[in-house]
Amino acid sequence: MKRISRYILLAALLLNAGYVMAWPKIGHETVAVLASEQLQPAVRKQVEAILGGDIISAEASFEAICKQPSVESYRLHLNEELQPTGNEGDILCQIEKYADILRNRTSNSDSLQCEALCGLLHLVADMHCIAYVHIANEPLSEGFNFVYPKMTSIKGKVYIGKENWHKLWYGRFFKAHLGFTPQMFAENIVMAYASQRDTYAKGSPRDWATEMGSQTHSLLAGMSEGIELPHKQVNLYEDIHEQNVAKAAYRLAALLNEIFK
Amino acid sequence: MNTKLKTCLLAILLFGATNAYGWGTLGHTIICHVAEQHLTPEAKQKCRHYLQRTLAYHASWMDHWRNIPPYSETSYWHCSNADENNKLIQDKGYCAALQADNCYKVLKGYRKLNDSVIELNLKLLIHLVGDLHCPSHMGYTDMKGKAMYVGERRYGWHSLWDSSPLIVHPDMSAEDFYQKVDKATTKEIKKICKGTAQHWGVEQAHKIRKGYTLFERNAQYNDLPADEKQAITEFVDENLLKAAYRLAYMLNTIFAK
Repeated sequence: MKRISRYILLAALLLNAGYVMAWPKIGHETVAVLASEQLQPAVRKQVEAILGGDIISAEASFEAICKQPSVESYRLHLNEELQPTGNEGDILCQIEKYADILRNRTSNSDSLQCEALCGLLHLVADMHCIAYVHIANEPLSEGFNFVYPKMTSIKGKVYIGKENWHKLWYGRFFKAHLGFTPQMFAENIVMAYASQRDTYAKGSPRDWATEMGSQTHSLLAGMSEGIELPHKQVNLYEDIHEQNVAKAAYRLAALLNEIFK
Repeated sequence: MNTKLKTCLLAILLFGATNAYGWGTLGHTIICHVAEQHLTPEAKQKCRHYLQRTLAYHASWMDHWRNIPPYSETSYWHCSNADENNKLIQDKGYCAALQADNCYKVLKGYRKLNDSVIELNLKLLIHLVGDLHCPSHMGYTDMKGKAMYVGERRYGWHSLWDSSPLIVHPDMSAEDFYQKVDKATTKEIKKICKGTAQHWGVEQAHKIRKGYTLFERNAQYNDLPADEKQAITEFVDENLLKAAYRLAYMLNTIFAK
């Protein structure tokens, strides 16, 4: 019986793990490209020495280097007051742990520094994906399905699109630009958000977590399982998604510039 | 052909038009990205000023907003239709070539327009020139499409050409396409760009008929001989490149000093 329970638990974890894949590879690479442009030259040198290469290539090897991170480490937990719980193993806890390892790098091994750096590169991006934000007593933050009027035929027939809240924030807006390279995404984000760079980069990971909690909370207001959303609203979410990509990149660069100053 | 049958076929074509997504996202991204590489510095700067983004970023804007007021009417502009003599049918203005020319004419007077009008017409133009060159977006009153299989997936005529850039160039980015496929000389490009969108529409009405001869009904793409696959790839690439060159030509003319 115990063995069966273990298998069920493992299957559940694996299913969840598949579901919590945040931004696709191209999303993380976009953040890395943007952040890389913002690193101070001396910081870039130190970072690349630890990684043995540039941060864009290192970002891709996060999962291999970070020794199979747990499902929990992909989530950002907030309490009912929208404050980070700092639960052991969640995104914020991991980010703070990795940042400390890098601040005290002289007393840590090369491999641990490399793991911590790869972890930071990946998790600062992840914490800006709305699908990873989980708010206590707000079940909708665990995800829900919604529909929207996708298309109307010349005869007036309305075709309904089905979407999942988490999947919307994972990949929809990256797929909307199929054929883009990370550099193409980054170029467009700079065109739209470069002027906000200093504002976005202010604060600490804990402040950013609180901000993501508030943003998720307001987006979930009025939502329910199976709700019909206007197509326009679904399209306009892309602005929020892009702002979050820009924030992730500028904040990652600010954090690395502070750690390696 | 009697009038009732013609009307019926036209209705089918237009109905199809409302369900179409042109080249698919990848094709439109490729067209706009390649076009941007062929812009003059002045045209590139103006486009970026009005769009606040690259051309490729807005390549599929018209697909994403087609059913949302006040843009609903544009839903019927994505296709061009032609009769058995390759004459474009332009009832109610439902013709990509006609609408591309209209946008071009509006934009030619951009100095007297406000920014939001310029932005909208640019978003429409960059998509319509792409759609105008997509085989599934040229409907004929005398031709019926056919399906093809790619592995286990069945593609109807429309979805086949919408997905064709992805089928013939899986995993290729727009930048890869530009680097590997865009090889035309300046002289060749100049020749391709002669005329207006409606001239190109008539030319496409002739040329896209070739697409109906490229494979047998219900053919399995994966089993096609290499030369037949190559012919499909060249057909797709030629149309994507023509669209890109012509779009760049229009934008360069609009924003000429």
